[in-house]
Amino acid sequence: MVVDEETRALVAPLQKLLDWARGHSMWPLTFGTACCAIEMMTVGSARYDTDRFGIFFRNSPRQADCMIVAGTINLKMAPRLKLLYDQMAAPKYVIAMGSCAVAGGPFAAGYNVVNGVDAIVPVDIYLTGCPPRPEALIHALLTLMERNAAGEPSAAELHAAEVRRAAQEATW
Amino acid sequence: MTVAYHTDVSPEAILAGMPSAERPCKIGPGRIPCAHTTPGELLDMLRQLRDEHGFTHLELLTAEEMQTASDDDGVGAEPGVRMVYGLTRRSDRRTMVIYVALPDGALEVPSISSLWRGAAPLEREVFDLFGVHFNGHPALTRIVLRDDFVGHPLRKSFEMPEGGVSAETVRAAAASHGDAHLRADGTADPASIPGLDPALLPCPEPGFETERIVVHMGPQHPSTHGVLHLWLVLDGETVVAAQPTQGYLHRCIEKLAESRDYRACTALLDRCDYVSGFHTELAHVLAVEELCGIESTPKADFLRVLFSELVRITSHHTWFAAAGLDTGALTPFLYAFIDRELILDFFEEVTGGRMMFNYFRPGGVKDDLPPGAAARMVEYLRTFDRAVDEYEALLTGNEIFRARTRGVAFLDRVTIADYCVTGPMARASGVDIDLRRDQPYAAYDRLPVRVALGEAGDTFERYLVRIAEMRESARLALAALEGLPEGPHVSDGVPRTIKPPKGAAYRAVESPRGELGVYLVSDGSAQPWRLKVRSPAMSNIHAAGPLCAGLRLADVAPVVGSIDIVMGEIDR
Repeated sequence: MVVDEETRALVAPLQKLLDWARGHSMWPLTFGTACCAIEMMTVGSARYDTDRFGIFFRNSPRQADCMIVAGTINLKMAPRLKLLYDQMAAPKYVIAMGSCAVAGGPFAAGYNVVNGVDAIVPVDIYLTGCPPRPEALIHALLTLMERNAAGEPSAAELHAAEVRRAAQEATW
Repeated sequence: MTVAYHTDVSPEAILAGMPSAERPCKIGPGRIPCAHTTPGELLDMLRQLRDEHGFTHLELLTAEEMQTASDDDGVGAEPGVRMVYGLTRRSDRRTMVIYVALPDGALEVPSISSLWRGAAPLEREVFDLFGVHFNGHPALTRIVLRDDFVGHPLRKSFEMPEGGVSAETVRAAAASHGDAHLRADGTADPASIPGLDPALLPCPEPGFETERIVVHMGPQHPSTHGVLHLWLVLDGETVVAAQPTQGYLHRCIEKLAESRDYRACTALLDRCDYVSGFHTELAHVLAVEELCGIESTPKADFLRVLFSELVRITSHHTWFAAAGLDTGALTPFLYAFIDRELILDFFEEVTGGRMMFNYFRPGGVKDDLPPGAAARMVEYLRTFDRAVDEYEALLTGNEIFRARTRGVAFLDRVTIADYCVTGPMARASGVDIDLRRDQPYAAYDRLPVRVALGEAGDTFERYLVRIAEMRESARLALAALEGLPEGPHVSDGVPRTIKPPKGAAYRAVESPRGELGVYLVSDGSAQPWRLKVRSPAMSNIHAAGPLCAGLRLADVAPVVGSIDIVMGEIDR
C-alpha cells in the first residue's frame, strides 16, 4: 500500500485492502452449545473485552464472518450446524473451540457425539482445552485475523480447491 | 383443597399396609423404604400414595437394567428393565421408591402422566434410552436422540460404536435433520409435534382469514440459553401453545459413567451442569459415600458448603446477565461478569479450574485451601452485598424491566406440583422447599440457612428470589469460612479403588436450579451399574408450556430466561 503524494489517497490493490479489513475486524456467530459457550460469553465481558480487537458477536449467521463451534456437537445438532454454516456468507472461517469440537473430548466414546466437527465443516483453527481459557480463545481469534491480514486462504477455500482438483483428476 | 396427611405414619408402615406393594424392603445403606409392584397395579398405587398419604412430589422417574445374577432384594432372575419411581412427602421429607420389574418381551407399563403431567417428558426419556413402552402416554416419541436413531443405548445389550461415532455416520447425520416432526424442507408438521394439541391449530373464528403458524425457536437462538428448542403455535403475536423439546446436547454422560470408576465419574458430572459443577459433583460424591459407608471430615463438609454457595453465586451471575440481555439490557451482563471472574479466580486458585473442578472426592475434597485464600475470600464476601446493590440499581427499579416482567407468566402451585418444579422457580410462588434446610447435607445443619421465599410467582418475583439468594449465598459462604474447623480435608482409609457393596443410593442437593439428585446403583464392581442424574431444569423447563401460553412472542425469551436452564444438565 502507498500514499499518493498529490491526493493523499491510499493506493493499493483491492485484494490487499480487503485483507487489511478482514485482518482487523472479525464478527463471530454466537454458536454456543455447551460449557465452552460460557467461556465464549466471557470473552465479551469486561475483563477480556474482545470489542477492542474489532471482534463483535453476531446473532445471525448472515452477518457473521466466523463460526466459533463452542461446545459438543451431537448427531441431532449436526444438521443444524451444517445449515448455519451454509447460511454464512463467504469468506467464512471456523474455530473449533474446545476438545469436544476438536475431537469429541471426554465424550468421544459415546454413541451420539460428533468426534470433531471437521467431519462436517472445514476448520481453520483447532483450539484445545476443556474448556479453553478466554485468553486462549482471544489468541485463536487473533491468529485467524493475522492470517487474514497476510492474505492466507481459509480452510473453506483450501477445501474447495481440493474438491476442484479431485474433480479435475477424475476427468483425466 | 386442603388435605390433612397422617405424617406420623411412616412410609414403611404405609407400604406394609398396602396390598399392592409387594416385598416391602429398604434399599441401600440409606435405608430408603421401597416396594415392588406390578404394571397393572402401579397407577392405583401411586394415586393412593399421592392423594391419601401426601407423597405429592415425583422426585425420580427412571429405569435401570435388571441385575440378573442375584439381586440383594431378590429381584430379577429374568433379564429386563425395572422402572424406578421415587416419591417424596414434603411435610417430613420422607422418600420412598417403587419398583416395577419388566422382563424383556414385556417392556410395557402404564403411563403416569395422568397423575403428574411432568412425568410425560421423563417417560419419553425412558422410552428413548431403554425402549420401555408407556401405555396411555399422550405422545410417546424419542426426546433426546434423533428419531432415526436405532436402538436404546442405556440397555446393557446396546453395542457401542467402536472408537465412537464414525465420520461416515456423522456426515450422513448432517445431511438429514432426522426429526419426524419436520418435513423434508425443514418446516414443521404441526399435527405430529408431541404434546401439542392439533385442535389448537385451526383458527377458531370462522370468516377471519388469519392463520395459526408453528414456529420453531431454537436450538440456535440467542435467547434460548443453550440449545433448547421450543415449538410455538402463534396466533399473530400471541403464543397459543408452547412445547419445549430437547436432546441437542445429549452427550451420553449416563452411559459413559457405566464404564468409568466412581472417581472418574466426577469429571463427567462436572460437565453435566457446567454452570454450577460443584453441585453435580456433590450429589454424586454423597451417593458414593452413602453406598460405601465413607464419612467425610468436618473441614471437608464446610469446604463443600463454601464452594457450593460460591458456585451458586456465579450461576446466578450467569442468569442475571441473561435476564438483562433477554429484556434488552446489556449492562447487567458486564456488571455480573466482573464479579463472576473474581469468584472464578478463587476457584482456579483452589481447584485449578475455572469451570471444571473435579474437586469433591469421596471422603472429602482434593486439596486444602492454599495459604491466604480464606482471608481473601472473607475480604471479598464482606463487600459482596454492595455488588448486588449495584445489580439491583440496574434492574430492580428499572421501568422497562418491570414492565416486561411484572405480572407476566404466573406459576401457580398446582402447576408446580403437576410438573415437579423445584428450586427458585417454586420458591418464587411461595412453595417453601429448600433441601439445604429440609434435608441438610454437608455442613448445612451447622450453618444458619435462610430460605429466600417469594409469593407472587411471576417473572419479576423469580428475579427477586434469585437476587435474594445471591445475598444469602454470600452470607452462608462467609459463615462457612468463619466456622471452618481445623483438621484434615479428606478422611483416611478411603480405598484406592472404590468398590461399593451391591445396593442403591439416592442423594439430592439444592442446586441453583432446584433439587438435583444422583441415583446410583452398584453391582459390586468398580464401575457404577447405573448412574442417573435427576435434572431439576428438565422438570422446570417442561412447565414452560403452561407458562408461555397466552403470552406475546417477545415475552417468551424473558420467561424462559426466568426458568434458568442449563442444557447440559437437561440432556446429559
